[in-house]
Amino acid sequence: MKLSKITTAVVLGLAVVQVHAATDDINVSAIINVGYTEREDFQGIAGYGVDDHAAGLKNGFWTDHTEIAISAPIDDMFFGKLTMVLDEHEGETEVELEEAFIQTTAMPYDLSFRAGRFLSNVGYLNGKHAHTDSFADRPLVYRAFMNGHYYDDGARLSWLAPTDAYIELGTEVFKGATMPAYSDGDGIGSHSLFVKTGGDFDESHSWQLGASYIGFKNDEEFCSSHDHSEDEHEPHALEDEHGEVFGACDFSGDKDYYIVDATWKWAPNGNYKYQNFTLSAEYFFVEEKGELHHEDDHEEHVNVFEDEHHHDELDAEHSGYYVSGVYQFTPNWAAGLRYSEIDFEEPYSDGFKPAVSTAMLEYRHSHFSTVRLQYSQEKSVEDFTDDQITLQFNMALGAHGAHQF
Amino acid sequence: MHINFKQKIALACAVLLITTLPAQAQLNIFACEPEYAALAKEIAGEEANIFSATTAKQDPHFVQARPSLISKMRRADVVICAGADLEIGWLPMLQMKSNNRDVQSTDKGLFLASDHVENLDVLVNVDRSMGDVHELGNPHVHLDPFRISSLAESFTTKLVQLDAKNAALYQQNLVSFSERWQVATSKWQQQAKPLQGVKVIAYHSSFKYLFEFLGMQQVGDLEPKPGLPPTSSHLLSVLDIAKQQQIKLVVYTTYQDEKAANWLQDKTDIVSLQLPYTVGGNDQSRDLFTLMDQHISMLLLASQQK
Repeated sequence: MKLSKITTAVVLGLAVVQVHAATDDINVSAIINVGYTEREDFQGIAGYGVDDHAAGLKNGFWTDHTEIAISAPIDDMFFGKLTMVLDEHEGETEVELEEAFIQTTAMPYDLSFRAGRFLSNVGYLNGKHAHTDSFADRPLVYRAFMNGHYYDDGARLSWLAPTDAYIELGTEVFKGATMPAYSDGDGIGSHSLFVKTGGDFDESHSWQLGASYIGFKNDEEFCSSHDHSEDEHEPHALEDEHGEVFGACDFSGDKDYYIVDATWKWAPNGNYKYQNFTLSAEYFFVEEKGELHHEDDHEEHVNVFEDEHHHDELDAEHSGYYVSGVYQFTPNWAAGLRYSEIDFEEPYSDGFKPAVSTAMLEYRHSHFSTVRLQYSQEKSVEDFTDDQITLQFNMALGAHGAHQF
Repeated sequence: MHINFKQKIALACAVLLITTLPAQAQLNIFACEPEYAALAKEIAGEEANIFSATTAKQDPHFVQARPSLISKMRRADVVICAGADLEIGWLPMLQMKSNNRDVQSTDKGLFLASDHVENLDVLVNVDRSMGDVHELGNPHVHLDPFRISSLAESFTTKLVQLDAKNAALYQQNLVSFSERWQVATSKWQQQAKPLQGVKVIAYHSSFKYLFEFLGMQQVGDLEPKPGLPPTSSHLLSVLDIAKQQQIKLVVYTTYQDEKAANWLQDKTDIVSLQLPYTVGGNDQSRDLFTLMDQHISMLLLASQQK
């Protein structure tokens, strides 16, 4: 089953490479993202329900987010893109369809419509492919609240204001069947609203601000992460005698995210080749209202055949943020620092704030190849510090696509 | 509580909309680089709104698809760029994000200079081990007066196609430009005679078309491969070339780092010269005419030193 998926992807990839020879309009690119990480086993993020995708980088060698992307104008009205991502999940390598969408390029009234499977445009990082990030993994707040990134089947309508200042408004609706959404997949399981604006302070300084909302209607019965139907109820948390731990799928009710993001980029005279600096930050405010399925797993209950099951009323507010700064000081070298912290309300945490501090140094031989050394100190569960060291190779083959600001 | 929050967002958006004014009727021209803003100004005249996305101090390969450029492109009737993938890192993103149906394809308001002239360095078999080479050839076409002359004609055709009611104006501007350009070109050819056969070392292939016009020869490149910054081992090999072939000049642009050229100057008798790559590259380069004047006078002066 998995093998056939990979075979299909390879055949498709080859077929398209041949098409590429015939027409110049089709862009085929592959991102090879491989690396080695030395770390302890992932223990969860406080007691918050997350699955394997929130773990970040795997211990040992990994090939996560190695991808093949194919994009082309379909005609004078539509543009299409397909992205397949190689990912590891619970020890198995899988090919995931991360994007398969069409987008209009010629709609009147400055509107743009997208349909299919794609990354939600809320926040700053979510709409970007992980391989374009300046760090080897996503910040803690993204891992906890967005499962790394949120993509789903749905539709987006966005509108660009006819003004000198850049103002974009958009709304999305999704099926809601991929984490952090879990609904039955019939109808609309999540919806979003976003506004983005930005401009230049002068030739050297540019900025962007965004405010987004995304709401999920979650039902533990329909929870499956990234299309995996395996049992997600295995909790990721240190099981001590106080171990109140929740699985990734133990919540039923409304989960609302309010996200604010800000980015500032600097380059001398706007010339990004030799030196540039990017400072970006995002703040998440999360409201959960509903019920939490609670399986008592205190030590004394471990050997009991049937665990105690009950549902607790939940009305909680959490917040989290990250701040990152990346300085490219020569055409070849860049260094960056990032800090991310989450403030959970009970029952996930009673005052402990999970946090990760990260530093990275990267060497770019050319525009297409990056070798990155990253160190993270992860304190995502109480009384446990994980020192993580990663060596990452991130390289692009084929057409090099344009990047978002 | 949620509904209130969402209502607030909606209200804020509505206020933003009302307080910002819609675009007005003149032709809006978005130029990817200053040289094409200058060309557009010659043909479209002073009345058009012409915007250059980059300055002479920015490497056009490495521009950010920043928010201000998205809103500028949204309002553009015409987008004029070098093409040949020079802007591949940012132009497609601007086209996608601007939702502007008029500038999505060259059938409509998009004009790519490299489509309209013969390009140098077109390679049959390209792969990345050769560096960031452009499959469609060298895109820095604006530094050859003959190519500029034919670009002026092609761009006029494009403007006439898009804005037929001002066709007479564009034609008239073209005639005026072409006459002045032809006179200037003959003058430049005369002035450049001493430069014929002069060998230079350059940074990237930025001035390839200029050297071709002037009859100069680029025998070395500070970049080991296109797009890759100079390395010390590569510079040593360039130093060998410089010594063996008695090179007088090393040139680089206003957006390239001067270190490598200065290093070469210190090691040899070579004169290191920063040439304005495009309009605005120095105070004197105000348009395409003065840019070429500057190139020739600076090269003549530098090659006569010592």
